[in-house]
Amino acid sequence: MRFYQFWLRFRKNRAAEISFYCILVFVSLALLAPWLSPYDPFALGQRPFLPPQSGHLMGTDDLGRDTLSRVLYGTRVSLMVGVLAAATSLIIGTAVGSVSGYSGGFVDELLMRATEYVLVIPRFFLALLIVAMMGTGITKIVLVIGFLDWPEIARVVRAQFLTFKEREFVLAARAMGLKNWEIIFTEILPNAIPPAIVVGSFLVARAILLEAGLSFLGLGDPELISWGMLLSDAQERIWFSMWLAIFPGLAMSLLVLSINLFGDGINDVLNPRLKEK
Amino acid sequence: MKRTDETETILEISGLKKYFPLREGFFSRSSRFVRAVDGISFSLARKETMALVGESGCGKSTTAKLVLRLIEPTAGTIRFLGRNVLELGGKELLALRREMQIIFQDTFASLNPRKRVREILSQPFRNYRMDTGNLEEKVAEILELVGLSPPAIFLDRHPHELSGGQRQRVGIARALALHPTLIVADEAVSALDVSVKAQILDLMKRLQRQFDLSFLFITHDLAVVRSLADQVAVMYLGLIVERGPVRRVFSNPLHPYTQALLSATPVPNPRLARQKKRMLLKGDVPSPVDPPKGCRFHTRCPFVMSRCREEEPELKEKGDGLVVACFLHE
Amino acid sequence: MENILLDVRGLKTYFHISLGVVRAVDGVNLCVSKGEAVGLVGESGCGKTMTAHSIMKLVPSPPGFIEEGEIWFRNTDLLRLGEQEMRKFRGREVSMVFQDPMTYLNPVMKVGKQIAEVLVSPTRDRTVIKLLESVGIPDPLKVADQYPHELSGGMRQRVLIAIAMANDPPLLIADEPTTALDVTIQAQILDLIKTIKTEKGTSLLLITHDLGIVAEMCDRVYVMYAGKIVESGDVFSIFEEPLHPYAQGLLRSSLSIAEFRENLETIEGTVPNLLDPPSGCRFHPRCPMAMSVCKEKEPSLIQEKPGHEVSCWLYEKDGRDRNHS
Repeated sequence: MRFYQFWLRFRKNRAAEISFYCILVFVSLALLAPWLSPYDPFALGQRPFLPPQSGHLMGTDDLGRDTLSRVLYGTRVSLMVGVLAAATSLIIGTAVGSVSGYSGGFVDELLMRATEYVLVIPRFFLALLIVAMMGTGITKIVLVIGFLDWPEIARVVRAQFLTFKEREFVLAARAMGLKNWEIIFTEILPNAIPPAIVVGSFLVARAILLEAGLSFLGLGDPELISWGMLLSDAQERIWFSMWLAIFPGLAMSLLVLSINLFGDGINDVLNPRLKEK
Repeated sequence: MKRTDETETILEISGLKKYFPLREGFFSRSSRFVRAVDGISFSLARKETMALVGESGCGKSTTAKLVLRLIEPTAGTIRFLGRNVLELGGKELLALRREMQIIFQDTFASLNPRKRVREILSQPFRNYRMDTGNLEEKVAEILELVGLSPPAIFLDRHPHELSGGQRQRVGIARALALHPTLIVADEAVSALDVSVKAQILDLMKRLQRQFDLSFLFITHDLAVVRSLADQVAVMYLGLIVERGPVRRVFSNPLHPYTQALLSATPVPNPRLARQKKRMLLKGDVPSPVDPPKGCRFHTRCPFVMSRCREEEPELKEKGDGLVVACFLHE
Repeated sequence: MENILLDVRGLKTYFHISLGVVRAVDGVNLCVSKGEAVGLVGESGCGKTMTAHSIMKLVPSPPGFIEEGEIWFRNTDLLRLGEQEMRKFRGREVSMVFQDPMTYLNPVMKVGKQIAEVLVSPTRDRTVIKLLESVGIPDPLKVADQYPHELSGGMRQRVLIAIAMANDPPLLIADEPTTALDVTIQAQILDLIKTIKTEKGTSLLLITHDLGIVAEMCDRVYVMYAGKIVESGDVFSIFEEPLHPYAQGLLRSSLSIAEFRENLETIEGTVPNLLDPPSGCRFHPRCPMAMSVCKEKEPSLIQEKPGHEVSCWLYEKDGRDRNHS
């Protein structure tokens, strides 16, 4: 599908279009955080517990750090964790789903039972356990989330493989003597990727929430600022300096909502029939 | 089958069977089978067209896939160009595959929706590492050959940007690219509109003459058989019940099932249609899991005899290359 | 005329989609008399199914709208009826049988119940079982207690016909009723429709792409191309002396088991896109006899012989003059 047509159809869903712009804003904020932040997010020395005012649009925290700057830097961490963790899941899930769907039989059974097993594990608690044992650190958090969140991708990709491997163009490719790996990579995979991307976009939102949860419980990367950490810091002071919780909370809700609506929008474009019903 | 010496047999199939196990439950070892193809034999000469006809579930499409070795048979042999297809592997199989190609019914499903015509048609050349220097030219040449001209306007289109007839032409071009000996056409014109169907059949006939092709034509449409095929084999529940030259079979069908098929096919001629006597069959085709004992057609046959319920008739030679499996003609 | 049951005049059904307006049905005139079997033939996308759906007022709306025209059934213009009244009309006065019975049968309801639901006034002679019997179902008691997916394609089509005929409507519209079926089953279903027609005097509007079926079933034929009727007449004159170049081409390119043709004659080109149909006569880009006037002006439907109408400039002797006046 041409990109322009895709865009035209995507734009029909107003909510998705607005979400897309929202995500763009968040991405640019994250990229430009060092230049946009009015203060060094780690620098102490302003007056603590300042309510929102000019100069400190989101107020300051207990140590006198500027909340706006901290929220901006937190955007970087959240987006990075979300995207990288979802990408990890996408790679693992696509690999498992492709092999499972294409080979069928015993291999399929085995991989699918494994997938279901991962799917039923309470993800948050396992992530908590692993991070607590292996130590915090952004790379570890990304990998832990990525390795726990691939089953849905695997199932979607497998379903695509099951449909497409019986399609006649795949038979034609086999009749032409193409090897299995050529068929997987050049014939089927390009058809299986779009729905996987849709699921992947939801995983970004989920990974952001999961990371925030870990940080909230103090298991985030201590070197970095994340929204979860900001919320965690804010909870003791929520009654007299509400802004400390409100702004990171708002940012996170808005980003997660945008990503979900954006995913819905892409899904509508890729599966127009579902929407009619 | 008797043939003059100058015709060379390219495909010879004997005792071909394909049973699909029925999946009855999780982890269960199935003992029941769908007997899709249950022991069929025929042969095909160079430049000749053989039509396999029958209704859905008769095993004709399975036969097509078996011939191309897209699925492995349960029993039987397939000899193609003098070699046993089932014994080949690796390079030899690849070399033989170049000689046999397939065209499908569903023109949408048979082309990868994410590829452009250019990519679809250069695939065969790439795969056989043919001199890729003038690949573009070659692709344009085959497009021209199948009547998609000027090629430039079709090269960069995706399948969904083509009409059904044009997509089928691309499918034919892909099959033709490597100059095969045999093309298996699985209901290749069934989904097309009347006027487009005639165009595609016309194209296939022309290409057959031009490249000395043999066709194995799988179809349910007897009118297509009449206008295209030299030989016809009528299949019912996994077996061939009658086989012979098209003219002979159509003018004087011997098997009651062939008679029923011919009488059921509507004729686009109101006077003929009103004179025609209908031979209506009772009921549906029985399940290929438990085909009827004796002659498989006996449950629907208007001429059924007690013998038909117990013994299975064998194909008997009736002269002029015609064979039929029916006790009425013993 | 009293005998006329259905009279469609100047029907236009357009689809408004993001790319523009699809003129699926563009000024169709058609009538069906009592007890008559009328065929509407054409290739896919010519608007024949949409014509039928318009008559039943089943056009998906939006995007489809019946823009213009009248659909007279006896003395009622169906287009003026509200949805409530139309609902009473469907099934009692006009019924429809579709190509794919599975999509029109409720998959989670037993067959018997689905028929019972449409029976307006069940009597002793008019029961679910009797109806199933009348459409040639061998074991009606068993079938009534089954779900649609447990039946074969032919059986499902019989059930759909039983539902359509439940209230003895005077007109049955059959849209490609046998396209999805095997030949021997198709013969059974066509035979059943014929029987119903002769026994109950039901009128039939048969929509199909298969000229063989038309030749066999119909008394009169309408040939449709790109949203318009190009020719109409009784079945013999259409098949034996087709006038419109499209009808001629269609007949010449249709295959028959009755004769072998060494060289198939074909109509060049493809069916036009109804978003942007050709100017003048819509067939002119593919017509072997196209003249300059064909590109410019649309031909009107003229009566060439009694009961045989055609819309083509070849037959409008004084065509240009008439258009100027």
